[in-house]
Amino acid sequence: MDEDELIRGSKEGDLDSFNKLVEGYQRPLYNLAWRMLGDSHAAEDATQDAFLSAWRSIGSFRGGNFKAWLLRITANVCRDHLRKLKRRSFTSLEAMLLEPEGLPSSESPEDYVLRREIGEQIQKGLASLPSEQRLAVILSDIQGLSYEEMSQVMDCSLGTVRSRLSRGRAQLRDYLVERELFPHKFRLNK
Amino acid sequence: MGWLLLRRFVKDECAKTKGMLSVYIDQRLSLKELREVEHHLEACQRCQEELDSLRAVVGLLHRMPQVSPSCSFAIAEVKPVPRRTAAWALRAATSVAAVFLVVLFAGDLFNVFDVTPSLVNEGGASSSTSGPEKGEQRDSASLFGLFPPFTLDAWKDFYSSSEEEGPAEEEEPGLPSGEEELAREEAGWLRPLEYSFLGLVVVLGGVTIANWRKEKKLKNLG
Repeated sequence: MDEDELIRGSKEGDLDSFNKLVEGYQRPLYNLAWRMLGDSHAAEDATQDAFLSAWRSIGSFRGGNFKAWLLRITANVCRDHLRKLKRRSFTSLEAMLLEPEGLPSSESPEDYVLRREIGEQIQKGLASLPSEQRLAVILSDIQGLSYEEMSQVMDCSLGTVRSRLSRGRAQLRDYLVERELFPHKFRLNK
Repeated sequence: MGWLLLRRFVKDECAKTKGMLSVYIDQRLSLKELREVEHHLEACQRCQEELDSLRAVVGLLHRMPQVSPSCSFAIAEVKPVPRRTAAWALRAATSVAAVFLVVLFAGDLFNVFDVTPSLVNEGGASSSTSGPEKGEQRDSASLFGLFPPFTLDAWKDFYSSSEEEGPAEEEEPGLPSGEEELAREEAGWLRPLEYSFLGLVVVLGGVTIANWRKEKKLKNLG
């Protein structure tokens, strides 16, 4: 059954069809929530809320990019969570302990530790960004969305997407440089 | 002076280029912008370093692992979505109350509910030439059977409390002095009823609007 049929079934109230869509999209939604919130439990709550919200409002989906529609709902839920949490400190690194998929068996322990450390710092760096810049960086560089898809998810113009992404990347670079975790050759002489 | 101007020009060019580097990495610059950036990068070491550092950040982010959720987010049961039954009932109630209010106001405006009693007092003299039989009282306020008949006692109470009451009290307490005055008299229950419905419409309307905004917000999540 293709996606359009599942969406049609969901609109008619078929929960099984919707749950098949959930199965297909839960990973990108959870990843977005996790990168935005920095906490696995909060990310789970946000993802569940996003799917519930999507189920309730599936009738308002007018076609187009379904993934972008779901990500937009997730982004909105994350904004609400962030507002409620008043930007709780991103000290929870529990989720970082989750074993990433596709870990190359050839990777040496040293490389693995180094990559983990850089991963933690990147997550902290993301947490230091304003939420809209963080969202732009996550959507573009981690989720791999196009500018047009980002525009739909973030509900803003392409120009705004460009500027938020540009500022977010530069700020993240500065954060990594300050913590001397960036490769030496890329450190700028400021 | 010339040196300062040149430095300023180069600085402006650098700032402009730096603002486009992120889009340059994503290969989303227009042809004109692309030429400008590449031309500047050939001559500016600092901007080239800036580009390299941003590319390194993007490269790191691309290699960030995707985490897998530890649970499924499938919806286990169909929760009774509060569809629109409650909201619709609320809207219907508001509409009905509003319609009643309009009817009341319109009736008031056109004196539909004004009391035009064709009263015959027990003494025998009818105030209306075409009045009903003796002892009978009729009230247009009981129109459509919606409202209780306006009794003679009620009329007396109302009339005796009226400030416009004139010398008629001396003649015959409780009885109006003339047809014209009677025709302008307003039913005593009308104002309280109007205010009650007005209050009801305001309250119901407020709740309906609040509910509607909540629904809209929920819908906008989608």
